[in-house]
Amino acid sequence: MTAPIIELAAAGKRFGAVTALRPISLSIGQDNAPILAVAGESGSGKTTLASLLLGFLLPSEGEIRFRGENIAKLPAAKRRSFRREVQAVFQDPFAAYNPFYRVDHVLTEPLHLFGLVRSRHRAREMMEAACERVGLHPQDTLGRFPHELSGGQRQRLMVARALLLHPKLLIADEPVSMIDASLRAIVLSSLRTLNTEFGIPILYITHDLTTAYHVANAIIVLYRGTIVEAGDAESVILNPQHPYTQLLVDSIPSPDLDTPWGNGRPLSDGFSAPTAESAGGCPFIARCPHAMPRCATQLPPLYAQNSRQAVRCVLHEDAPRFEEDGLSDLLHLNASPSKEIPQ
Amino acid sequence: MGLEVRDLIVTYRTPGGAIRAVDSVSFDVAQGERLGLVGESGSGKTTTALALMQMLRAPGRCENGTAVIDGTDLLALPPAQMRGHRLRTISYIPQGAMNSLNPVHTVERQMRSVLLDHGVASPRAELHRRCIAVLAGVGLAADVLRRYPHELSGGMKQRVCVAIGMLLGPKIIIADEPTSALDVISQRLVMETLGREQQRNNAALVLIGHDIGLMAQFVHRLAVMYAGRLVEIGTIREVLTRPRHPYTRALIASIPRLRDRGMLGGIPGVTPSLRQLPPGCAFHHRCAARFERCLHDKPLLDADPGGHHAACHLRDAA
Repeated sequence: MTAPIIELAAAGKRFGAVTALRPISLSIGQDNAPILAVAGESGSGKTTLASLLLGFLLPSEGEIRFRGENIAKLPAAKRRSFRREVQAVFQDPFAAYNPFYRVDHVLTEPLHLFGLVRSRHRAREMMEAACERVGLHPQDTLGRFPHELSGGQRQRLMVARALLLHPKLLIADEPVSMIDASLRAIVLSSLRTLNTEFGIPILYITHDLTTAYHVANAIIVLYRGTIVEAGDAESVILNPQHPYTQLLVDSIPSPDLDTPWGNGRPLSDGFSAPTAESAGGCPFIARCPHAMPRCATQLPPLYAQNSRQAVRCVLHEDAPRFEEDGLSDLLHLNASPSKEIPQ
Repeated sequence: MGLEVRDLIVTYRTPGGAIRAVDSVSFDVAQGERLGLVGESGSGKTTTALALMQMLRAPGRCENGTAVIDGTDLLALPPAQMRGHRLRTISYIPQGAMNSLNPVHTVERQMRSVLLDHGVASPRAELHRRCIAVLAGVGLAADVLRRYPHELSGGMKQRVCVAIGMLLGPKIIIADEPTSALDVISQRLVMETLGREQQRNNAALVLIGHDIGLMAQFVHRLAVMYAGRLVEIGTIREVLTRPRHPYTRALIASIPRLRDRGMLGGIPGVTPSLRQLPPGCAFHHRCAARFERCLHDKPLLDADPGGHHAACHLRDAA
């Protein structure tokens, strides 16, 4: 097996006294090209994780490796290939464009920057091909100004831009949260096309479990910087085991009129208040309906639910402990022996 | 009683000619009732709200229409009088309201200025008590009054905005995507507080958005906008279970649900530009059920604002 594209080696991030992300060990390879969803609310550490993987932030502990090398110490040439091979699509398709330039600019710039084309004609061909891959008509898209395109079109163009560089990993940070529900499907489909047709692994960061359910193979649920549940996306979302994941799933407003919001259970009060870290205990204790005294002092380990799910909650302490360095195997992020286990 | 909007027309003057962003929109919202207004970006939802608030900016202009509450036509009021009605009669909670809080003032100062501007001449201690009571209504502790916006989470800021909107007990609340930037749990919290406050005041509420799931859980009636016009209106149950307009059907079919994994249905085609609306029905080029009449004859919504109506020729053909 070749070195994974990107690897978090017990990498975590603290900002002063605040733990933004507890150390995580995870590696994403190309052989299996997963779509891994990272779900959680604001402040859960999901964007911190994206920033670490993109090299925008350096970890406070552990390290991030690109093809086996610490990204903090990459030599210039390798750094360029890291910049090219790990691409991002961000949340706001309105802020990502310079309003004074035609949208072509976001496509031509990286082509020139990375010296990928020799001629204008070739550049145009590649841009048109990339547009078509994400379902945009080049003649209706290229040559326009950002304000002339809808949010969905702009976001698809961002996906096209990433595609142009033949990335080996795409990090999509809330790519559809700012666009219309009816357009989300189109952007998500274009991401999925990238994954299935070109074998590009995708890290899909979101607070929306419904879209995660439809596009992701595997999921990590973060709460205040801690992985509270992880596993196969379908199992975790349809059969959530951690009280926080359950709350997240229950809080999806269902279009079905006879499914009351939150299963008819009102949200507990005193919900938004606590921001201080509970002293070494479970971060979810203040909002947890099952909280016990020991939850205040002891952060539980992950427990293996079955071969598909791991959950960090004392309610599951009868289950075998799950070794955290086995996360990549649980999530099938690499071609690995566990893949051969019949489903 | 409640709000009666009739024949609202808003145009934007552009170098290429005037475009109609809102075209002949009529609806009623009774006291205590919640009406949802859904549609894609650019369908005219927010423009409708801004027109009702007399907050349109040039080149936008309200060309026609009335919006009557308690015998007063809000659209006919001179600006100075309308100012007195904002927050007192009609409150608008804009999209991304949390970013409209003043970063250099405490929450209390911003709330108090609303009361003072509207001539609530009470002693300071009384104003303070009133702010605390309204904040408690949205589930926030009194110490939030001393905080600056940056010290609050997005959900808390959004609830502060709901509190400001409720401060003078308005008869109408227009909430424009109040939770679009929030995660599902904060969303639930904000909507629960908004709903509770609306009920307590027996206010009429218009919820603008594009999340049908949220609408299903919150509103009593649903109005669907497309290219500046209302294309369907009815009770939430009627519209969701027996949608009559093909656009509404497509909108409902495009909702991702926790089943049929991997099936993501969008609406094919793009919204027409308001600059060059096609003749006939504006949806016809995306509509699988179109027939000859749709190409030249614009379908109208029934004038009667109650009941379940769709602006579609199919209903006549059926």
